[in-house]
Amino acid sequence: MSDYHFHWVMALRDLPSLLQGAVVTLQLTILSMIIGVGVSVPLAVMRWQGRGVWSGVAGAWVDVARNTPVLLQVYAVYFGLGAYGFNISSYAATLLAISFNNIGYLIEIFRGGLATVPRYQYISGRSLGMSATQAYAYIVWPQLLRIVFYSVMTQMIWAMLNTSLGLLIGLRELAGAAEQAQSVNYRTLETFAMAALLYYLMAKLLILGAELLYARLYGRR
Amino acid sequence: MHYTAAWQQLHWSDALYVLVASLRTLQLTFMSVLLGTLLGIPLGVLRALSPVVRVLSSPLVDVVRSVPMIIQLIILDTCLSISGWPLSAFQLGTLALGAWMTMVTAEIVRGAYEAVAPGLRRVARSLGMSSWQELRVVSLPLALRGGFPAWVGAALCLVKDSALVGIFGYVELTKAGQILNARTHHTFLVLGGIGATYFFICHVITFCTRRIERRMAE
Repeated sequence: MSDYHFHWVMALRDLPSLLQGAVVTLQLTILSMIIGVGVSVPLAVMRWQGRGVWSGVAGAWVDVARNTPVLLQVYAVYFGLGAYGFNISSYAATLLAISFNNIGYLIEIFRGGLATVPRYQYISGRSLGMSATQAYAYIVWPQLLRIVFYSVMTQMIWAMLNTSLGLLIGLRELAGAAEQAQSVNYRTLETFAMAALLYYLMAKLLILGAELLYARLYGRR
Repeated sequence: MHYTAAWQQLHWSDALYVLVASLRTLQLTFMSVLLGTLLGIPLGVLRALSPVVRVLSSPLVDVVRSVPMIIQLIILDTCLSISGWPLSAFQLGTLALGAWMTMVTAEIVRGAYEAVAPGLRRVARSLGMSSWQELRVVSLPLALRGGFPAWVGAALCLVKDSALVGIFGYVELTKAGQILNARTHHTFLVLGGIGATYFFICHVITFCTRRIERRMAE
């Protein structure tokens, strides 16, 4: 190291704004996961059944979302919609792009999970007089959720990491707040090190929460 | 004064520009996969064999996987500037993506190594192989074959993550798309085309590796 002096105190003064950014990051993560699960569950069922237009839509969605960079997806939503006159905020654009990405990955996760639940479980439900929706809701999904639980949680961590791309379209989530703070206090390394630490802690927090939730729902692993 | 730029609209020469940019994306991906694999395989084996290495390296694995790539790139860039070794954007990207790939490869190799049946290892030792021979001839080939699909997945991740290096001035596909978009304003066409190029690259890689996997399974 050359004669660089760390000035943590100057960077620490911006901790409150970083924490505000962290709240935005968590909000985006949770919202994008709610949207992601909400849209991907029906699509995964259609894809699993494997016929009709919606199965094709789900397949195309998976292909596009998983084979292009998230950065490109963020740009496509923010600048692409903007080019057609839909000027949405960077918050909405990040949320849309991350949700789009989440849905692509979650469809595959749920479809993989569906394949592990034996088909006769669904058929027996139907033959007991349940409707298709009831058979899915009461028989297939409870078993499925346990199988895909950790994959979904991993996807949630990925979603959190991906929200940092909001920085590039001017959103003040954790990375954006750090960028803003370092342009004022000139302590780039210290500020971004703090942001990295906060991301690390949030990831750990999410994992801990997931473990607790799993233990609450299904007992010890 | 009325002024129009010479080639404001999309032009056929732009296709060449995108082609060169996609080669640069591939170049960056290839170098970081190479770096990550060469460092990751020994690290993974060491992590499987020695508890000391596992304890020492697990914070690194943890940090690399739970801090966003863009923050890692910014921190590395700043550290390099401070230390007086300014690297080019390509070298910066190779280092950061390579570090990520190292940690991910190490985890894949460790998982695959631990999945090799322990009985097989004992058989090799009782046939008179040294522990090094057993690793080289029995465990490692099996572990590498088992970890191959996950390794390809990580490499595909890198193709997409390399887009972030564009922010630091390395003109790869996404950055090239931004430049073309800024000039022509055909946003959907340009970004869609760039997306299709990534799509094509990923599918070609998947297609080739499927064939390799099939050949390995025979």
